[in-house]
Amino acid sequence: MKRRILIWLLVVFIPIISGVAYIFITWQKPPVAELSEARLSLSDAEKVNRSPSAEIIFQRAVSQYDSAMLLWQLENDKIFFLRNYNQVIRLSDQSKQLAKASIEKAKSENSDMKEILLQRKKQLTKLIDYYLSVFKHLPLSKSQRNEWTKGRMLLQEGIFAYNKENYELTIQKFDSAELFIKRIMNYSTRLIEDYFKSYPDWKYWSESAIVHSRKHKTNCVIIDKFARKCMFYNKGVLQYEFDIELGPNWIGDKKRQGDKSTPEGVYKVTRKKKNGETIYYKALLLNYPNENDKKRFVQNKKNGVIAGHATIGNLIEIHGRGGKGTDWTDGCIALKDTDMDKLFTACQVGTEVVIVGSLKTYDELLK
Amino acid sequence: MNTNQMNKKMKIKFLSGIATLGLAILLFSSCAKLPQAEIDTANVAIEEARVSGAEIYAKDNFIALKDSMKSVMENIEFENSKFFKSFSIAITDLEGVTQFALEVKMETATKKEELKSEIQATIAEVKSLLEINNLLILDAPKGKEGTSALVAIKGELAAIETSIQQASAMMESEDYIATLDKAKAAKEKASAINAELLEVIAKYKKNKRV
Repeated sequence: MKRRILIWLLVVFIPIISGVAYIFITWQKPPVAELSEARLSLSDAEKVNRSPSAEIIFQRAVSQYDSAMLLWQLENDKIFFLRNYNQVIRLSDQSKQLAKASIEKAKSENSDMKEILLQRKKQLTKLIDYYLSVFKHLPLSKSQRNEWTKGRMLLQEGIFAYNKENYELTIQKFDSAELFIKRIMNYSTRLIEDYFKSYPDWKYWSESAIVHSRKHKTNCVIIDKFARKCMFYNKGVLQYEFDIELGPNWIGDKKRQGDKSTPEGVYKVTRKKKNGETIYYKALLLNYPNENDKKRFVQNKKNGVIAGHATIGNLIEIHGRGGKGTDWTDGCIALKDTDMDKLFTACQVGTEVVIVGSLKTYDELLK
Repeated sequence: MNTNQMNKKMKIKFLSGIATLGLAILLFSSCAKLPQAEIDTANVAIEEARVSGAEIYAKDNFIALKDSMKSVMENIEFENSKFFKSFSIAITDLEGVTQFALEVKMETATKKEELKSEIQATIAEVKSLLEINNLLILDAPKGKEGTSALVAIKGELAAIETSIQQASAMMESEDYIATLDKAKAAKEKASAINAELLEVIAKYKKNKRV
């Protein structure tokens, strides 16, 4: 009896014990740790601001994680001792590595992009500063001012996006801003380059006036429209330098009445208007139009540059009531009243007044 | 009862014991069902949070939310790997995820409302500045010193007006962050013009009275 029981035990339990032992030896633990690590890496990668190429790597990492989870489910559907998690572990590891690679890629590219965009921001800001320093007084039309403002606002929006590390939007805004800013910049550069073609005349007129003042011990006034300066020379020596304001359409020579432009040429003071004789405190009336102005006016009419019914204009003065900080005259030259007092006393009827676009060359101004 | 019969009886008892044990294992291992309804509810809640804009307006918590869901799914699969499955902890976790998703959705809505209010306030400020600036231009001295010098500024004001119109339109698309930036840039420019105009007018008036 005992022998039979023993035989039964051997027949039944030995295979069971062997089977259980085999299963325990070959049984794989579920890949919890591997998937958890991959998931945490994915979370870290998701927090990073990813560049397009980092995003591609990140999406591959997500895909590998999803595949690992799916495969784990499929393995779990099998009988426990037939389960094999090797592939799940491999995919989890790949996902973790890819997630880490996407972080590295994003960090490196973000750092590069940050630097590139910082340089671009500096360039655009410099461009605006440059424009404001060189072309500050340049008359722009309403639509041009509109574009200029759009450009500056877009640049500001780009800077906001940059500060939020939204580099894609920053690029978009900087591109649009650059388009507007450069358009105005190009227009202004062309306008000024064209304007400065008269520089040899300006140079000749101003130098001749100073030489004449020195030789004949007289005085003269030189108006530099671009620099917004009025210089008084006595016996060829600079005695006073005043800030001036002009008309809003100051660039170029005066062509007709009402064009709010200041004429360029060599003039003389024809009358001194004391306080009470002018609404602009004190004034020095100039002999505009002179013979050259008249000739040019007739020629311009012939060439159709100005309308047939246009008149040449007059009453161009150097007067007071300046210091408004803007170009507001109809073509006259406005000084602060205190400066006007000095100039009024220093000048006589007949004092030569040379009005030029600039005393510096365009290249000198750019520098 | 002879020895053979006794052996036979013992054999039957032994086999039925094994069978009962097997059945018990089968029963225990299959009685815990996958909490599919809770998983679906949590997923729907997460999707609702995403659609509400959580990815943008509650980014960190939305990432944490997705991570929590993945973690729960890993735990569920771990339970699935066992002989004796129990999803009770997973069910509690899933309920937590659903609750978290609702909180993230609410956080998103709150953040959006905050941004919306800020945008509306900024747009209102810009509109007010534009009105003031337009009045200042009209207030500029007339005659020879007329408004011509300030007319070009109208071009700048028009650009700001356009920008504000664009910002209002962008509000409809719920792109609140970019909209706020646009409104802020417009406000900055409108304030600068306002300061410029006030300075010019002050100078006008100062020089007028001499």
